[in-house]
Amino acid sequence: MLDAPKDFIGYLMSQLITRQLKDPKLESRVKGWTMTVVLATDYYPVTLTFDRGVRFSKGAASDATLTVEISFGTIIRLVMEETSTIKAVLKGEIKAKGMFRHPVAMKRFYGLLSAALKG
Amino acid sequence: MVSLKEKFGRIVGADRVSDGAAERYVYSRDMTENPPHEPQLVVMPSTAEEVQQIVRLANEERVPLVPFATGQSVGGLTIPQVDDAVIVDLKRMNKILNVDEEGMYIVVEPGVTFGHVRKYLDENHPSLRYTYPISSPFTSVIANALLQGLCDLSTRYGAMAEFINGLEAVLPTGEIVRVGSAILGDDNWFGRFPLPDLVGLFTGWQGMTGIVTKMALQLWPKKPFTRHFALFTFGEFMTTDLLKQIARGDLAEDAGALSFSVVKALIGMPAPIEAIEGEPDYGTFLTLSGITSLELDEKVRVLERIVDRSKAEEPKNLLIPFEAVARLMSEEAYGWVDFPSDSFKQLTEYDGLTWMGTYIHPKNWGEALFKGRRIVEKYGYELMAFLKPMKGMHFCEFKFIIRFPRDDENLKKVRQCNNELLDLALDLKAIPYKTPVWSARKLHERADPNFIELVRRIRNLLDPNGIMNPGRWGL
Repeated sequence: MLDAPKDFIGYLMSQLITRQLKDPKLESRVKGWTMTVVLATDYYPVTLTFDRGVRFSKGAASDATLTVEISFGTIIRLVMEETSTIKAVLKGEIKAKGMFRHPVAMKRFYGLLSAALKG
Repeated sequence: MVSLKEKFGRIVGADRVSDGAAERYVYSRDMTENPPHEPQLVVMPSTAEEVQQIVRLANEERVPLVPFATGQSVGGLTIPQVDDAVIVDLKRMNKILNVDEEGMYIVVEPGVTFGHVRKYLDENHPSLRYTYPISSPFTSVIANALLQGLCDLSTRYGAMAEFINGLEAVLPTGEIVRVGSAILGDDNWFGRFPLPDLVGLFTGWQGMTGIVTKMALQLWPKKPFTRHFALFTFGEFMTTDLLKQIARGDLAEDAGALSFSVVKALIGMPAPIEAIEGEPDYGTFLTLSGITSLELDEKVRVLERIVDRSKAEEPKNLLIPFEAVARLMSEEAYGWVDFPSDSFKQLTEYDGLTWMGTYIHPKNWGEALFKGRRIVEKYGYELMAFLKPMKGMHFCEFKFIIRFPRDDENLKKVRQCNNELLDLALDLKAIPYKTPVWSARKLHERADPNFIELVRRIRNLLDPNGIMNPGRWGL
């Protein structure tokens, strides 16, 4: 289901999300999602395309449903549970474009990201 | 007439000597591009006295000997350089003879490996530690020390030869000698001084001055509080500058920096690994420790301040607690810093492996890395640089490792690439270590001729019949 990306962030995200998708219920739900999310890190952007699964590609898709700006340092703080996605959003450490137009996509992606980073 | 094989068999036992085609093939080569050369025999002694008899017989018969500990060096260092050589394989001499808790040293035979030492200390002397390199766990600790390699305490204490308290060796003329404080007897291997420091007659000589049969090596107290970090950085000059500050601050007992491609290999990315624009260029694994948590916490704070200051120039530099690395990447990550041999398996992706490594003046470190990177990129190999601040930043290490499929095209290409890397290193007055013969010859061309002449004279003095590893180091 997942391609193996050649870049670090794409590969890391693919590994973390794959771990989550070992839960058959979640996998089944995610297979039903159709959205494109750009994870715009301070290193470089990665596009996650949800369409009967997830594909990862380096770069920013121009037609993204959501664009989530986050530094790799914030990703680490989320992993260390020094912050949460909600707190990080409130502090401006995570910024999302498309959140108001696509609130369901936002809720889905934040849920998946939080779970993936917490392991 | 008694054959040479039978004569050696009388010393070590007939089943411990072989001229079989399989053995001659295996001992003729390693993973590097260095040309294979078959020995005529392989003998496997189990005591210093057997080694002594082997050396005496070799003198009588004028047979060249090539010492071989566990054969894990990557540099063609056990490949015979002349015809009819006899490999003296020392791996049966694998006893840990003593650990002196008070003097903090271990006495070992040449077949003792890093894996042996780690297990033995953990089980029997858990308050002490040795030091471990990024090499196979089957690597001989004696060979590694004799070849002046580096390890996970080198950032603080320097090259592995610095850890030697003394040794016992069979000279090329057959005498068994000791150097260091144990000249006054066993249980006294505490150090090398104040004496003529004859350990130097054996370190860096690649087995040309005798066969070391015993060595005492320094151990260190395991500090009760330890933390590991990964540091992601950008650019060769900024990375080396930052590492210099960390090493000079005496914060880390180890700082091993890797091209980011190596980090990607460690987290399981399949070969070939590309360096992608935007990714960090280097990942450094840092080990900090303290006698108290307070000491450790303060070191961590200073480290964080140094990294924060570096963000003025490169905001994306990032210090990552190893707990996060383990959660994000793999629990195996602790193995990379706890026993670096764990990460060696990433380098054996193909049947070929080579490297060009040097010790270099700190002022030339960044330039060597910057220009070396361009050379490796030109040849299209994965970027796998390893660098380490050495001995509190008195000098530095850099090397480029290339893993490759051993086909004719790649063998030719890695030779050219290593040649260019060595030329660059010598231009910057770096000294190559664990040198294959071709590399030593290039060093000779540039080195003070009186030094090379002195080396020749000492060798001829110790080995009048020229039986010990002839041709090695280009001599």
